[in-house]
Amino acid sequence: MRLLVLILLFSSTALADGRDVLKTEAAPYFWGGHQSFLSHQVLGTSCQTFRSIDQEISCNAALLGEKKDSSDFAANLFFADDYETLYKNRDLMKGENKLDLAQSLLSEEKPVRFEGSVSLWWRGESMAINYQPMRWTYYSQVSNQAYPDIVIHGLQEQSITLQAGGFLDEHWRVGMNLRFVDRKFVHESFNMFDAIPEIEKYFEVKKQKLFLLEPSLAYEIHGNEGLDQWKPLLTVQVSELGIVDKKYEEVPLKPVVDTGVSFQPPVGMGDLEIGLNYRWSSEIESERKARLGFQYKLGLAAFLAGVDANSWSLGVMSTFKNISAGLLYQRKEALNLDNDRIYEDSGAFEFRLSL
Amino acid sequence: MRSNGKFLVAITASLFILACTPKPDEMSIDDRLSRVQNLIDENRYDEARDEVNYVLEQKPDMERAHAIKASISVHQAGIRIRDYFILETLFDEAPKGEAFINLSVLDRIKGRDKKDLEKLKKFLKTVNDVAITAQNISEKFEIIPVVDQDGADHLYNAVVDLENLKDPSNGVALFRGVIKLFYFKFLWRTQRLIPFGEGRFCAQSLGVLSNRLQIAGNYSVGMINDLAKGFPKSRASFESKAQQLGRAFKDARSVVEVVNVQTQTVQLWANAMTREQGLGEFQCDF
Repeated sequence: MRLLVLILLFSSTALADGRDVLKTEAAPYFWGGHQSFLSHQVLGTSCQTFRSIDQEISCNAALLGEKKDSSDFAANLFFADDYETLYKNRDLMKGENKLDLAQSLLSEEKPVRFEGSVSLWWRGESMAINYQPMRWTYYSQVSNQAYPDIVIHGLQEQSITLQAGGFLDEHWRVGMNLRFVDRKFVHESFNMFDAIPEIEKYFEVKKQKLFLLEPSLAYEIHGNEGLDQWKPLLTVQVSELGIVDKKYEEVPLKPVVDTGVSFQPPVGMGDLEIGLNYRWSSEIESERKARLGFQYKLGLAAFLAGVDANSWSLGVMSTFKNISAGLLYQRKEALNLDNDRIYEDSGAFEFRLSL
Repeated sequence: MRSNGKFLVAITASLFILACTPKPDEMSIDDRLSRVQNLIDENRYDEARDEVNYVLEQKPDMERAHAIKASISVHQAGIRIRDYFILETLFDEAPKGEAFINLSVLDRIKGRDKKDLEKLKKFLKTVNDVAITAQNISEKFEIIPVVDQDGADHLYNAVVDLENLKDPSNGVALFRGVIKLFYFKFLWRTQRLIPFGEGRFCAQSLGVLSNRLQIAGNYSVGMINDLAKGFPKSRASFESKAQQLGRAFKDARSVVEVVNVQTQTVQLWANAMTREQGLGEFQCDF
C-alpha cells in the first residue's frame, strides 16, 4: 500500500456579479460533498465517464477496476483562503446571538462564498472508502441595503462513502456507491425587516441524515478494429437515491441520472481522454445539461478541462516524487434578470504530499 | 476508423447541442421584485420604480412591493440600514434632557387658585415634556444623520408610500417606523415639527400650534407604535411610551383649543395671563 498525504488548498476568489448564478446554480455545489477533489471540480459531471481518474477517488464506482497495480491511502485538506468566512460558518451553526449574526451579514457588501473539507480515503482495485470527517460550505448575499433581502447558506457535513465495482465480463462493468451523510445546515432567504420581529425563527439550524445508494454501469465497446483504438466507453449512474430521516424543501432528495460516453483517442505522445456526460435531474432544471471534459497526461503532468453551456474550467496537476501541485480556474456564466451576462470566476490551488 | 471517429463526434455534438438549447422564461412577480432589488443596488432608481409600479398594477395590495417601492426613496436618500441596525434601545432610558421652558417662575405661584393660570402651567409643562422627549429621541440617535432637504423629500415620499397600508405585517411596520424615525430627526432638527428657541415657539399663533401639536402627536405616536411591532419583547414598553406621549400631546392641545382667539400668538396669550397674576417678570421668549 502506498501512503499518501494530500494537502489541498482551495481558494475561491473574484465573485464578480454572480449572485444570480449562485442562487440558482449553486445548489449542487452546496450539497455535493463528493466533489472535494480538483479533478472532479474541473471535469464536473463528465468525470463520471473518465477511466483515467486513478489518483483520486473515482467519480464512477463501475470504473474502479482500472487501477490494478496498487492501492492508495490519502488524507485531504480542502480549505478556502478567506478564513473569515470559515468563522462565519461556525457562528452561523452555533446560532447563539442571531441579532448579531444578522448585523454581521449586513456589513457584507459583496457575496461571500467558501468551501472546505477534510477527507481520509483509501482506494484499492475494486473497492474504495472516502471518509469526510468535516465539510463546510458557506454563502451569503445581501441585496438593497435600504430594505435588505438576505440569502444565507451554511453547511457542516460528515460523510462516509463506500465504493465497490469492477468488471462483469469483457464488456460490462458494474459499481455501487453507498454513502452515509450526517449534515446540519442553514439555508434561507428572507427580508431583514421581516426577520427582526421573530429573529429566533430565522437562522434555524436543521439536521439531516441520509443513506444513499448510487449504482452505476459501464459498457466497453469492443470488436471493431478501428473503434477499439479509441477505447469507447458508455456509462450510466444514478445518484441521490436513498432514504432520509427528515425531508426539507430546500434540499430535495431526488434522483439524478448521468449518462455518458468517453474515449481515448490515440495520440503520439501522452494519454488523452475525452468524456461527455448528460445529467438529468428530476428536481433541478438548471442541472439538466451536458458537460464535456478533457484530460491529457504527459509524463508527470495532467491537464484538465471541462465545459458546459454556462461554465468552463481549466486545471493542471503535476507530480514530482511524493509532491503534487495543481491549479484550477473556473468561470460560470449566466444571464441575470435583465438578460445581461454575468460571471463568477474562481481559482484554486492544490498541493499534494505523498508519503 | 475514420467513420467511427465521425460517429462518436456526431453523438457528442448532438448530445451537447440538445443540452444547450435555452428556454424562454416569463418573469414571475418574485423575479421582478428581485430585479428591482438589484436595480436599487445599482442606483438605477427610475428603472426600479417603473418595474415596481408594473408589479403594483398587477398586484395593488402586495405589501412587499409597496415596501420595496418605499425603499427606492430610502436608498435615494442615502440611507443604508447596515449603519443603523440596532434600534431597540430607542426608549430604554427616561428623558433626561434640559428643560426648554423656564418654569421656575410659574412654580413659585403655587397656591394661587386661578384656573386659567393652572391651564397655562399645565400647557407649558406638557409642551416642555414633549419637547424634551423629542429632543431625546433626536439626540439618542446621534448615529442617524440629519439628511438634507433632498434626502428629506425622498423620505417623505417613502413615508407616503407606506402610510396607506392599513394593517402592515410586523416587518413592514418596523420598516415604516424606521423611515419615520429618520424623517423625524430631520423635522425636529430643522424646527419643522414644533419650533423651539429664540422665541420661535412663542411667536406661533395658537391655531398653528394646535395643528402642529396634532400632526406631531400623530406622527410620533404612529412612529413608536410601528417600531413597537418590530420588537415584540419591548412592545409593551414601547406602546406604553407611545400612550404617554400621545396623552401629553393631547393635553397640550386641549389647552390651546379652549383659547378662543386662535390667531393670537402664544407669547401674547401667556404674557397677558401672567401679567394679570402680577407676574410681570415672566416673558414667553422660548
